[in-house]
Amino acid sequence: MTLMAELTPNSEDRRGTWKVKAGLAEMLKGGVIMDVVTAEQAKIAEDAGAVAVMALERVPADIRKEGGVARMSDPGLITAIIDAVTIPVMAKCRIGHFVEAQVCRSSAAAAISGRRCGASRKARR
Amino acid sequence: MTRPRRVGVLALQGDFREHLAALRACEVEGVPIRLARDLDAVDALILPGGESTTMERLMEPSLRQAIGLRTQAGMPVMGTCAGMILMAKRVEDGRGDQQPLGLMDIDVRRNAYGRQVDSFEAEVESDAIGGSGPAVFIRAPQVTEHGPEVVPLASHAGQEVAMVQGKRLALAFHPELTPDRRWHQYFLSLDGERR
Repeated sequence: MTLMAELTPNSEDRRGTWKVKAGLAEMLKGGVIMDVVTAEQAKIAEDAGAVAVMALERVPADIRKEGGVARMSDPGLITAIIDAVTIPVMAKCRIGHFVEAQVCRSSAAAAISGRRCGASRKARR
Repeated sequence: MTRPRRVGVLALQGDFREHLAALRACEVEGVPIRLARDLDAVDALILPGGESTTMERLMEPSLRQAIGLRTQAGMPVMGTCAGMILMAKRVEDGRGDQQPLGLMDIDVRRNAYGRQVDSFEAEVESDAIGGSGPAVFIRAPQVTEHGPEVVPLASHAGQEVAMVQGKRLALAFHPELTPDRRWHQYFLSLDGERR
């Protein structure tokens, strides 16, 4: 996996700005972002024309079925998926868990969003 | 030849709305292009940013063919970021099955600057826009090789990031995400008088 940029931009270049973050979302418009839990699924999504994949620990339907809570994706899984595809890979962590978000970022995920960590509807019942 | 009056923007996926807005700011009519027949109504074409793999898959063979024929017949084409990848002759580091349109004699490497955390904003200087202007590089590609007919217009951090071959313009960055319209004006000038 290429974590380090092979080309180094100038030091006065501005990284992590609102424009490059919102800009990534602009590039995804009109496309499908598929939830995946394995590298094989990510490949299938890319082959089918997905603009990005969301690397999840479990998809919501399985959480409903099996019960339990929505958790962060396994960092090993995120890197395995990044290696498998050329499209951006997104990851989720529990809302407010900054260290989990930092782990996602270190895994070089393109975008990170929060997951509601409450028990699924079925588990609550 | 005159300045294009109606400019098509490939509208399969990506930031084509930003390009259409940029054309409006240049007082040129923008036309979303989804099918081969849409091309009949335009005198120039913009390939926007987005995911090159997705755009390739969504493009019908007839549209692909029509873009090739019109370009050969002299239609000006501009590609930004993923659009630049589509214009290339060869894609490195992409998927093995990627088939770009081959509109320019360039080889392109995808995600050459690294991943999204490495995306950046910078000032890029070029005679084409008469000075320095803002440029947004998002998971930007890099031209690794180009033929003798390709003229570099701008470089950044030692890499060529803008180039022209006849009436075909390829940019590694996104001028459409900035309020600066000089790159679009330059593109519109390729087929006529500079305004």
